[in-house]
Amino acid sequence: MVLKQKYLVLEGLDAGISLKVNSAFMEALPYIFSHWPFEIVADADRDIFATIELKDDGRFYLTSPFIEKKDSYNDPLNVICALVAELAWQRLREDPTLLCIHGAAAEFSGRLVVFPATRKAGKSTLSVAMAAAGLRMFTDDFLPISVEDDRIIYGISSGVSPRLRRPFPNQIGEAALEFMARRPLLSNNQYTYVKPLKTESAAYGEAQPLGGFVFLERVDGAEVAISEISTADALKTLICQNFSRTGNAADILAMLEFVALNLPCYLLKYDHAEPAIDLLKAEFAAWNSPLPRFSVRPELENETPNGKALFDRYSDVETGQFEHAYCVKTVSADGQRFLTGRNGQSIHYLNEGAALIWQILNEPASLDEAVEILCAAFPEQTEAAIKKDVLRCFKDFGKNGLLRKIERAPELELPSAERLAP
Amino acid sequence: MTKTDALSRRKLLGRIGLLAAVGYTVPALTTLSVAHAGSAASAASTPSESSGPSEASGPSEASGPSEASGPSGSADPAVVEATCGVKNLNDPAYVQCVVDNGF
Repeated sequence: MVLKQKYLVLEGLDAGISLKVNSAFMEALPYIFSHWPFEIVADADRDIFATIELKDDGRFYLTSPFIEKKDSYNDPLNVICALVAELAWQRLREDPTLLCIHGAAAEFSGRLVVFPATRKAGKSTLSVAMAAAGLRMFTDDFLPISVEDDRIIYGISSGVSPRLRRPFPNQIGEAALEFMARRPLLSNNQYTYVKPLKTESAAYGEAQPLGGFVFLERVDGAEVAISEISTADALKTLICQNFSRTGNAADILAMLEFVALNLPCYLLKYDHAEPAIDLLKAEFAAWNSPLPRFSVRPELENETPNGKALFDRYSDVETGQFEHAYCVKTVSADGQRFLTGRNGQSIHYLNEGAALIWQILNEPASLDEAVEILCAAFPEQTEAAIKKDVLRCFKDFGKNGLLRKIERAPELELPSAERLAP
Repeated sequence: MTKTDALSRRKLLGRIGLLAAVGYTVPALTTLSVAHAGSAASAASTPSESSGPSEASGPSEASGPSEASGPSGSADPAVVEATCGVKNLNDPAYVQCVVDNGF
């Protein structure tokens, strides 16, 4: 089988994808990139960041210098699924000022409601059901977000069709099933891509301001209910569901703290999509507050080129005194702490116990001094138990670049009296 | 407790301020997000990207770095089979395994 070398070039990306594929692959592209303009060209006049090749064993191989593990797929739809994921990363690599949330988003009254991905959330199912209910889709999987010149935070459409896992759950509802019956579909035995009409999904690159976050919890048999979620819980999920991991962690934490504090955050418990969407439409029928303007730092700066900035790790935390490492950004929400580590490369959450030890390390303290303080605070605990806990916490702090060892000047060796004697 | 002991204890507690009012909790640090080393983003290799609705992107263990969250990719059937056995949609255990692993 001789396949012609071609190149896939998607709007908005500088780098392209090298292809040696069959017609089934080519025919699948318009279904999946339904709102993301692309072209197939014969000449590579640009950088190539990924290659897809159909080999003689009948499998599609996706390779890229950015993919550690080599994967192959027996189906064009599956390899394009993997390519879509890689395209999300490529957007971030080409524009490190973007922050990207793993989740779905749809437009309600001119603002975006974002549904961060959580376990068994049903975000794609809900996305298709929302499109069927007349809400304009922005994404069912990843949402780049950006601070514009007006300091307002916008979500940007990915232009990719929603993908449902098969078989479709009953909870998707009759309206969505009818909607899908009247739209072009592309399926294999695992997935179905639903191609929305032009007006049903935002085009690639289209931006709308972020309005709020809804964290989904799909529970069999649950009555639909929406409730406010604490800032700390919202922040924790947002940190996990952002994948802007080439940016500086302090900038990412600052922006996520800002949105968690300033945008409404809800938990939606539901089972069936249709009543859930009715509730969402009622909740977000109008926006009463002005859009918040992010003014901490307008751009996410990548201060850790190649993500390899050095930081001090301490394996021995049992000797000497320690205090907070330099440049650790700390955020407190609802009495809980989030902080950056590894010289701006990681974000951590401290529970109450770890926050206490962090508090102790506001001033230099040794392991034994920290144990002594906690023994005084909690006399009902045994010293051995506290020491074991504090040691583990010190080690965790030490390996994540959160500690700085206090260097003591060497003591001067005084001459002995005998040597001083004349 | 002697007067000296009380003073000493008060001084020690001053280091943790009002936080001491909270009951004792075993300290735990959870890593929520770690920078990719350079270009280590991988589309189809992390659990949440292999079609999972983010099941692996949430932290669960103290001090263990959570898997990177990311856009959903496609689950390789070979991975599905290795995890859940031979495909059998009539077998509730197989279906549950597929759902639980986000395939």
